[in-house]
Amino acid sequence: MHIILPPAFSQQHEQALTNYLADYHRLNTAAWQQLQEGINLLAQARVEDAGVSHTFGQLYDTYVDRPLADPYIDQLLTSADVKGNGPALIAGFARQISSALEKAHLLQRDLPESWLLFAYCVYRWQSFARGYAFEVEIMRDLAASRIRFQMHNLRSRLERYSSADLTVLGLLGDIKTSTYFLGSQTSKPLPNDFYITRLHEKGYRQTVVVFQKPFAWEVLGGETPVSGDLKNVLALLPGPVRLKQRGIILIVVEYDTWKQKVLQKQVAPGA
Amino acid sequence: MPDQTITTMKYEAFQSLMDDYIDRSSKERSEMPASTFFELLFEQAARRVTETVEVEGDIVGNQLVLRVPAGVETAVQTRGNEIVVGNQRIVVRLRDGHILPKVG
Repeated sequence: MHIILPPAFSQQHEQALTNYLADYHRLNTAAWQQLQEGINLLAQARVEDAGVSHTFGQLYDTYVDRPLADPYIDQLLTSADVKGNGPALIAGFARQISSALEKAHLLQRDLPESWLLFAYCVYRWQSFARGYAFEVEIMRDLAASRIRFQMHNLRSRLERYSSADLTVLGLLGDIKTSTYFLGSQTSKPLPNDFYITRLHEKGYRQTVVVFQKPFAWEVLGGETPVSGDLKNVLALLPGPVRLKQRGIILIVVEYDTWKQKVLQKQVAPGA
Repeated sequence: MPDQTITTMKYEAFQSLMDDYIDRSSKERSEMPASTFFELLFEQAARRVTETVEVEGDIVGNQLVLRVPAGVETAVQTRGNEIVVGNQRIVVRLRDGHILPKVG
């Protein structure tokens, strides 16, 4: 067996991945960018054995996503306390990856490039697993908040690949953690109307935010936003903050603010 | 930060790195700072709008045959006169099957 890495996969990409695995709190923006690029390149790395060739992306689907995703989602959905039980569940499934790859002779002690396959698979799994734990938490919170919404079927592999996770007031939305979101963007830029994610910034508490296209905020009858920039957006919450970069405008609000607006709209006469 | 990269460290060190990562990342609920997230998001969105992929074509027996040049890394796929981008298929047809002479 031998592994062919894409020529564009550089020492810097591998360093960013190594640093991420060691301590992602210390990555700067350039390193996060290198990491995203590196992961995308590793998806195209090839494992060749006995005349058969598979990409890392294909091997992830075969040895990780197909056997683990459905049972994981099932356990997530039957868990009464995702926040409490999620970490052990995520780690338990992640620990099955090394034995699955070793059994298929895809993780070999004397072949360091095969370690990159393992790192790639674990990175993707952790992004996926944490992303869906977050999605289930939000789904249950929306229901508890008496918000009317339609959700895609998490147990359906096909529906999990749809670009929209939920519909609220006719608006298409997506729920993802930050790294999973950036790693799963489709070819169409920002295809949905709103996005729910969880962010932090040094000096601020972790915050669940909704960022959306301006028309989606108008549908909710939202107030005029204040202008913000990438550095101060969390400081300007919970009210609406307008971000404009590279010709793209997004309105960011705290999740609770967004829920209040949705509820007001849904209970309004004629809604 | 580690002095070595994944493929240059000892196997035991790599195993320990991965074990620690799985433990830590399974417990933590947030990983990317807001400023970094939005910067990468805007950049990614802008790049996706402007990304250009060149596709080569030949006329073979009055049929258009397209292909992505060797060495180009892209998710775009070609099949005969079709270009597949994500879940969209673009079919390029020659008008009336006529091949116009090259000008200039």
